[in-house]
Amino acid sequence: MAKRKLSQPDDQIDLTPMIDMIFLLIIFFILAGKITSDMKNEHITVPPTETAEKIEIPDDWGHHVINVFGSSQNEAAKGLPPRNSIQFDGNGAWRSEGSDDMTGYQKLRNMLDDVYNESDHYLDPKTGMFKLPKVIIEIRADADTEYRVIQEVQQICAYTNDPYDMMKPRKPKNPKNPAEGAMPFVNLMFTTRSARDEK
Amino acid sequence: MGKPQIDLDEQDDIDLTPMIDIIFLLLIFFILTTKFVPDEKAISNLLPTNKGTANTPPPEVVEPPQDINVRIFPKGITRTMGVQDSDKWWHANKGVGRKTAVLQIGNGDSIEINGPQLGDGSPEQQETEIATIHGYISAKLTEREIAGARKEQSPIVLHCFSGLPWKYAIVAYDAVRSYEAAHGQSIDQSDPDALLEAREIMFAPPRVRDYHTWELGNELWEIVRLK
Repeated sequence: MAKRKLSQPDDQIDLTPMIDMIFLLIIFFILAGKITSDMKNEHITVPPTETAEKIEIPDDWGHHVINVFGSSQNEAAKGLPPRNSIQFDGNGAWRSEGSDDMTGYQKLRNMLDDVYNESDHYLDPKTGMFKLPKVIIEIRADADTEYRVIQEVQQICAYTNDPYDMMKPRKPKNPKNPAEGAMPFVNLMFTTRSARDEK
Repeated sequence: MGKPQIDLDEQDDIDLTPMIDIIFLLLIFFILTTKFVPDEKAISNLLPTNKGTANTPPPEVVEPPQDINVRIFPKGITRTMGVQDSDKWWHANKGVGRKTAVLQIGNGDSIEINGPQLGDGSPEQQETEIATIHGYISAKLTEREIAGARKEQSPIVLHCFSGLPWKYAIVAYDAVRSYEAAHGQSIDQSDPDALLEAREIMFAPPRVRDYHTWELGNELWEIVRLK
């Protein structure tokens, strides 16, 4: 009789490892779900290309994403962001209203200014004048975005123009040193996907 | 002796069933709500820092190398159309115009890009479309190669009509890069000095700026007429 009592725990299945595993899975999904939704908007389908490389950001470099939407009028009616609107870092609080939204472009530039001021810098090897931020800007545009918006965004990143009056080059604060006061971002990436991977 | 033993056993064990139920519910909730963005890659691009700023002395060039212009414009626009005609045509045919684009280098033959196939087609259709564009650009650039453009490192400039979808411009850019990787000088991407020697591949700066009446027509007119 005593022997049977002792052997009783063996009859029951030990649930501890299973519960451990399930907890691990839950934590994984909580974290993975958050990371992907932070900067990248899921309503964007990037265009297919061939020579694209995996996105690798050096450890000491910053990384920011400019989402540009391409949904059609029908989709916009369902509450999705309208075509040609811009969102910085997938921040749900703000996005621009379309390709003619000049205030939106200005706002984007102000956000980039903040990023510029907070990042580390290196000297531009080409001119030896400009202080460039150690930041990679990923332009994550939908395949159906109007090309014009990408042109504007590139100009805004380079900061060679005044977003309010785009015909004119931006006036340097100090004519002898055009680098003074300039905050250019030159390290850009265009997000694409590979058509081959989908097979 | 037997009865108290059984009671003790039952009280010692915590009943795990409700906890496991709830954990499973949580697990299913997170599995269903998590959305993974599909595997994405990127094409890097270095913007020129010495353009558009005043007081930067222009680089000394004895004979400026001729740009190689890669042009993308909607199908239906022709060289005989004036600025106003082009503008009217675009506003009347926007929907169709976006769907098929013409890709042309130089003034010779051109190819058509099938927009719906490139963006939303099956993977096979997308690949065929990409391969066609790559093939055309590679053939045209090879033609230019014989003329000695390579020695002067002619910059390649991409002129895409601003009203067309982004996918046309990026695939053409991709094709030029792919040609450069296969036929250009091998350049160490990690060496900043070597990168300065690399051939300049750039998107043309925006032409639409001052919002005058025929600005889109003007842009189309310019792009179609470029050599």
